[in-house]
Amino acid sequence: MRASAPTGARALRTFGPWVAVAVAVGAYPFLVSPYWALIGSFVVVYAIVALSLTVLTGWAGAVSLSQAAFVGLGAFTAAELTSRGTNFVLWIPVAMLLSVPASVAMGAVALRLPGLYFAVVTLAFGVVAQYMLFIPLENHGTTQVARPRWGAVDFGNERYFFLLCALAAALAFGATLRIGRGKTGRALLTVRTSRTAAEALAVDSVRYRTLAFVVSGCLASGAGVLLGTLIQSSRSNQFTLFASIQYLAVTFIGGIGSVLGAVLAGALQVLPTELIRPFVEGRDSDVLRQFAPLLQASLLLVVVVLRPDGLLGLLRSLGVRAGLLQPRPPREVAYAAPSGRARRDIGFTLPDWDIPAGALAAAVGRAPSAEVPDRAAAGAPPALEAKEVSVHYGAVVALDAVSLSVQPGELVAIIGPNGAGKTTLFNCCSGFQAPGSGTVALRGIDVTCLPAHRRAAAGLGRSFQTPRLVDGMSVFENLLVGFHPRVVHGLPGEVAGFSYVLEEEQEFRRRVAALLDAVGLSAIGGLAAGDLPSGLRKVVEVLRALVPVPDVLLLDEPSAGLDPRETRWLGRLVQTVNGELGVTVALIEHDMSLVMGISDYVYVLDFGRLLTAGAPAEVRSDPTVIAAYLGKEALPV
Amino acid sequence: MELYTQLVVNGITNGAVYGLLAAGFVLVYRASRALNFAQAGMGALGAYVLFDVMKGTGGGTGRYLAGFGLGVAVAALLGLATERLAIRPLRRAPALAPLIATVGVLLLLQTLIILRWGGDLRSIPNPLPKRPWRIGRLVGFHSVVVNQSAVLILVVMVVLVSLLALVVTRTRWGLTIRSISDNPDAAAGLGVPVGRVSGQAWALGAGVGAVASLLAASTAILNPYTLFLLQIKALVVGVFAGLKDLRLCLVGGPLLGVVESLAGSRIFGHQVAGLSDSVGFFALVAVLLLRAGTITETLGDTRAS
Repeated sequence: MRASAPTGARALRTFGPWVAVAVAVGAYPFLVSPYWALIGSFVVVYAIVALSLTVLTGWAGAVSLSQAAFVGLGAFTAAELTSRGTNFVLWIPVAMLLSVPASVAMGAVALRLPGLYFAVVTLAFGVVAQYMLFIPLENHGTTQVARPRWGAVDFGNERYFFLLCALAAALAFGATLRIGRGKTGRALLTVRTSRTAAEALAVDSVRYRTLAFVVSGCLASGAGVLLGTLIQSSRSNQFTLFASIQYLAVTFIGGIGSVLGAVLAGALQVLPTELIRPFVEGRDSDVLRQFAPLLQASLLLVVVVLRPDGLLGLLRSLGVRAGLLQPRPPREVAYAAPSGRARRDIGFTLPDWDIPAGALAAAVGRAPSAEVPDRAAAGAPPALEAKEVSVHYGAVVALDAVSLSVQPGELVAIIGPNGAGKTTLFNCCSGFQAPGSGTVALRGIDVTCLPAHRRAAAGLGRSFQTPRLVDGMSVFENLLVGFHPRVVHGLPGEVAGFSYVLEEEQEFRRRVAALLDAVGLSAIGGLAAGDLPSGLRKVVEVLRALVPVPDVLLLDEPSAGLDPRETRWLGRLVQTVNGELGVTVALIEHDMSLVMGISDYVYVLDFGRLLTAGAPAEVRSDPTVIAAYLGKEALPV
Repeated sequence: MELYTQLVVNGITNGAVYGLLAAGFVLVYRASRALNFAQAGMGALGAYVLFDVMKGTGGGTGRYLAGFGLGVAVAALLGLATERLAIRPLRRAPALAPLIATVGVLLLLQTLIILRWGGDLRSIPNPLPKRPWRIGRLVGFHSVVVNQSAVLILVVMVVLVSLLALVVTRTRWGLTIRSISDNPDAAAGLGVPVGRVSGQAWALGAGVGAVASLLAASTAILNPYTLFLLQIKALVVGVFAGLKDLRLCLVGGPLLGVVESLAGSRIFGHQVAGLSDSVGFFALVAVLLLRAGTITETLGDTRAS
């Protein structure tokens, strides 16, 4: 639901630039010679190729050295369908369909290997495609591609063909832009940063990465069809490793991960040759052919070492300096050295806790729960129950038949010396580690076999000892990822831009804004998470975990790295979440004043065994606990 | 039977080059946790330097040795420069940044080579022995032959890779490499000059790779593309060696050579198009997926702490 109908001025501001771009692109081929219309088509097609790498490398974080194989797949599909006389309308869909199995296979391999090994596998894929598919096809004579003709419109005319390419590019860029800005883009960036964090936020990392591979493969093979049709042939020597490297180079130079950067990349792929052509024509064709790769390789090195956000990032920062653009988080840039981004003073410290009762509940859209059911009166199954959970690493026993039961609405603390197995227990509960034996149940339902993201979707939230935020995204967007399990719409709706999708997105944005407002952190909402000091990072991570209001929230050392004031703030937050929102909380904690102050029940672990459990007061005076923490000598004799 | 013996012999000698190239990758990876994708370009440039020295001559031994030394030195210098200018500044960057950088260097070198020497096929005049040895006679296979220069390459490979393995496992310098490979930060904290050692390893790795490239270019033909394909296959051998164990390069190179040689024959009753050049990569994917568990444990973000 929109707040109000857009007025004329607002409509102009929203749609004006797009209309201007559309008019300029539409008029372009008719203002220039057919040759420059052809060059324009090349730019547009290579921009789509770069876009496919933006999705794959920029968003999914996989460096591929065989993107040319996908482009080649499209071009050879065009050649094959030409020889069969198939209607042009079907060429792109057929090529996309053919690319899907290859993408899924690559995605499956990428999920199991670290990035460097995956890059080696893509090399292999490129060579296999070359030797087992393209060269045999070429030897078989499948190389000619015919330009289509629709009635009176003959796409043999470079001007019309440019319009066709531009239309395809508009669709590709529109769809990718929507994917990138919405739920899918945020989920992908989270997966790229840390698969573990993503799974804890109910993001199915396998599904999303595979999705990115498929989208990238479809874009590349679709562009391949256009490229083949553009040059009216497909040859194996166009789709070599060096073509792949060139695509990667221009995409990086343009600004990897940014959709606008892909447009620059298309220009960088084609225009250098055209710009020097007048100066070398007829003299030395090697110079003409090698000038572009020479420039691209040199620029690539400069960009990787000095300017990871590429040409677009450079332009943007110039724009900011000139006062034309607002600074914004460097969302997708992931290839920067961390030291490259100096921590600056953000001029914000966490205020004292003065959040009125009920404000948090109102912000997340929950009525404050009237009362917390107490332990004795519990008729319902426990919110979280671990039974006899054991974990062994070789001969080392990390957990030895530990049982834990958290009643709905309870706030439970797990304490114990370092290495006691506390985090291992959490990992077993949240699905990051398969216990050697034992079971885990959520609200009485056995979840031992469920993967982490399914448990998160079922209402089990989790924060980590070291915060795992997406550094390039704003605090606001990081919190939006928290809503992932509550978002109903999927990729097709996102691409189509249905109104219910937009409304849902708006609704969750409103809720994040309300939450930030309620906890007094609105001022940092727009900052990049990577710019936050460590205390605030921790706070944002805990907030992200509670955004979807899980049934059970596991907090792993929330106060580690916080100063005393921040620790108090966080303690109040946890109490409020537990008391007002009715969220069952289990936390691992070393800060004893925090533990004793807020928890209802305390479990003590030592050397992988449950030492004792009970109310805070009992545990505090238990001699075995004192012995475990301070040594036997510390016991009062 | 004679045919297959010949194929195996061919495979072993062809594979020697892979083993030597792979040793270069492994050494560099251990010292800097980066794969030198540009090694192919460095070796190729060295080979063209040798070509410039030898072109138009009859292939005299003294001249050849000098040119060979020059070519290898050029490649080693390129390795050193790459490490200093593109890899060391990225020490703290994500693992994929150095990968992109080396890919950029590869593209740069390839372009420069074509600009200077063009893309045509060349051959390097050389004094390497060319007579075939009828080694099969010993076991009664009279037609089985092996080229003397191929045997020479095999010997060079075995000697050089064994020497490298000894250097890495037995010398003080090797110890610093191993410490960097285990934990660069801890090594730096203990006073290991991480930057300098990794620079030396890059130079050595590029040099060793260049020896293989120059020998391969001398015995076969020289053009900017074939050497790159050799290097990609050598990368398969390097991964087979876990990017760690030089001794496995010694075995892996000839093994891949034999597999390729057999796959290129009519072993399945008919020839499969492109199988010889592709089979190594199928093997690569299989090896990687089988070893995926151990690889991810050491490198991936799988711990939830």
